[in-house]
Amino acid sequence: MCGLCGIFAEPDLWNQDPHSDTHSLRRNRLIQIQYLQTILSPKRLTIRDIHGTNYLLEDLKGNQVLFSNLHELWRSIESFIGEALDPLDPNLYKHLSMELEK
Amino acid sequence: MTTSDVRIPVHILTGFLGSGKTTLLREYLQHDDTSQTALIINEVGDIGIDHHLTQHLDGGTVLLENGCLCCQVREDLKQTLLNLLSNDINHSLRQIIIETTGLANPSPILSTLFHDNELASKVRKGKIIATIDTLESVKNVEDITEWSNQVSSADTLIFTKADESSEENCSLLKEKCRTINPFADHFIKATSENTLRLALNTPLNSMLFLPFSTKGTGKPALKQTSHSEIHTQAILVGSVNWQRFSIWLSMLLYRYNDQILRVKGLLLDANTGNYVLLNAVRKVLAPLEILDKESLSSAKLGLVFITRDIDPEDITRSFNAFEISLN
Repeated sequence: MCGLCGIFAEPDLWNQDPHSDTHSLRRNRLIQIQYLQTILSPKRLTIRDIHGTNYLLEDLKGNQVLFSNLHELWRSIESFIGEALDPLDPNLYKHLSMELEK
Repeated sequence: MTTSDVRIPVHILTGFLGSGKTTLLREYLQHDDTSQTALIINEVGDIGIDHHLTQHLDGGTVLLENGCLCCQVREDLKQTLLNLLSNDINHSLRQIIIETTGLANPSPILSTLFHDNELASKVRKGKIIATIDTLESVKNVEDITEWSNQVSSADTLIFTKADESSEENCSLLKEKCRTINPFADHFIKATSENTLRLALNTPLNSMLFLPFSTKGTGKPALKQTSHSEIHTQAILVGSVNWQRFSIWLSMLLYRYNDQILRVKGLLLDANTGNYVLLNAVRKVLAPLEILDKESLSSAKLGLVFITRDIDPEDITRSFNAFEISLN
């Protein structure tokens, strides 16, 4: 598991404030989900935390998939919408510009 | 890696067909005490080395079930390395050199070293050394995907056959290589010295990862060079929101995994205050290194991307759009 994919799957100790308590770890997790949700909302996909250990991706048709790392997320999204999300898409830039300002 | 790292370094010797890898290796083995060196040849080797451990690999790359693309592990290589280590009863082994085929892409080898837990505890990445045949012209090699993959992956480039080539051609090739991979050290193979030993013994200067001038601070600035369809793009950025950065880079590597040849960077994680060294060859990300702040007094923070067929400006636009920088 690489350092990027693994950020969700395993405690990434170096990246946590050494004084973090359970609450702040939980908070960081929710912040990650919120950021991901902002990226995914134009595709009408939602992402939820499952018991603080996994994540659930859903589309409007009721398709669901559990995932534990970023690579699984991108792969699941590709299977849901038929293409990989494009981080270089100008439409995504516009969306992020509006949503992250809020 | 730290100075107390006792894991055995695994060096990768790569280079295009006929570029002199075997000659270089033979010279190294003949003139150096290599009794503590194990050699893995990724093709039918033609070197007789009685006193060295040699292994021949012929397997392919497998994708681990439920694993990610960056976690490809060559099972044959893993087993070969584990066998070498288990046979080293006296703990005399000091380094392992893997010579790849001329058409190899080094990234699956790196992936095996980085992402197999059993191996990662015993061996570490050494140097990736690529040989460059100076009898070839830039025109002949620049469109060969394997050639540019090898150049972009390398820590060190050794220019071979320079005594038979013209100075002008050597300069053009060096310039081309510098464009594709500004991080690599350059060596000219000389008949009078053991060039591979020199290359292996020269420490990597990981601090000099940004070969661009920096002017001003504040908003991420950029410099770029381009040649043919391969681009080098630098994003100068200080502290980042690591959660956002991880998501962005992971998404980028997933979507453009064949077009991003190399990513290298030194970033400040705003959450912890850690300085993090990042190094990816293709989609294979090396374990992140936390660097000592005191050693970074003159280091520049930022990211460098080497890409193929991607408008380099798009990388910067995307980075800014994802609001990762906290400058």
